[in-house]
Amino acid sequence: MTIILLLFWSFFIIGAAAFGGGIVTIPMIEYELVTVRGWISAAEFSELIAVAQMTPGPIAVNAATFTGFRVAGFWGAAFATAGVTMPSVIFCSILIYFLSRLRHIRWVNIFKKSVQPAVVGLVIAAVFIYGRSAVTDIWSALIALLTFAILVAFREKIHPVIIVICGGIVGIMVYVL
Amino acid sequence: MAVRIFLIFFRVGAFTFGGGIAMISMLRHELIVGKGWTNDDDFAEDFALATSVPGAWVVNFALIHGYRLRGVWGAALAFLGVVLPSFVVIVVIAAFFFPWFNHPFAAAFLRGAAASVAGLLAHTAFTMSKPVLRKSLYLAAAVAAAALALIPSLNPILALLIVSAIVFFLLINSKKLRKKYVEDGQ
Repeated sequence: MTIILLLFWSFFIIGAAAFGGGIVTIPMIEYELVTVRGWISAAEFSELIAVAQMTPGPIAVNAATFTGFRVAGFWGAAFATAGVTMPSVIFCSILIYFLSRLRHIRWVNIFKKSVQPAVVGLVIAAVFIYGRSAVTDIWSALIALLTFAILVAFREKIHPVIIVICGGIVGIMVYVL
Repeated sequence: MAVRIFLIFFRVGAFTFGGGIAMISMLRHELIVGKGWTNDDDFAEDFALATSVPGAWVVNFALIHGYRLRGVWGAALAFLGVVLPSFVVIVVIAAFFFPWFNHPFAAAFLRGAAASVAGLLAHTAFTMSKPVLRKSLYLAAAVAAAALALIPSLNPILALLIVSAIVFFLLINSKKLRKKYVEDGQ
């Protein structure tokens, strides 16, 4: 019982301190799990990050589910996942509450217009940050390029999920076969 | 509509490899291109809001955008939809498949899928840029935000805050700029 509450608390802290995306969060998760709690070894941690990055979903949530399961089975996974997402629920509720009271104020409209270019800038930066780890050789560059070309050519008529699965199949063909 | 909100976020949660931010491409496709539920303005606003609170980005986005679409129920369903797939997948892997996870087929599939997500993300950046980069102030701000966000030691949220604050300051203080960038020019 105590271990399950401890899992909840540890991942609550990780969720609350996770500012600015998964890559920023990884060293923090390592500190909490390996150094402070000793729940998993450093070698297991790198396995965990590999799994978390390869499976769908945000890295912090995946890390919580995986570690929780390793340490305390299904309920460990459930409580660790609840812990890591709880700060989002709390902070977003506060944000939504205040925003609903501010909607009609004039400068909120101006603020909406002010964040737009910065958001585009962040997405452009994400392309480079993500691309650096995903595009590592000529084949992966080719798959990325082909994905881009298909999306432009078909004007987004094909669902991205289908293209990504095709990318995976091409990956099997070029890396294994 | 409530069920469809759940399904949209479930699909996005289930098929996006490579962490939270990669999901932006799927979300844009589902919400703007596919259904026309959202416009670029609202999408960008919720993106910025989701970045500015702690927690996994896509979880925050699901809560904030779900609330915009359908109030508290929308937020709850979007939240469950985006978290459930990774929970199920990870529990199944941790319980049964971990020894096989390093199988060359799985690794190769994920490598190819990740490369494809990179192309997808580039396409999203490309489409999102088009309306913004035609205006000089926006172009300068987007370039500055991208450059700041690429500094490894700098948290990307700072890039967002600094650049948005400067643009906000300029728009508040100049009537001419307001006319050009905020439609009603108030």
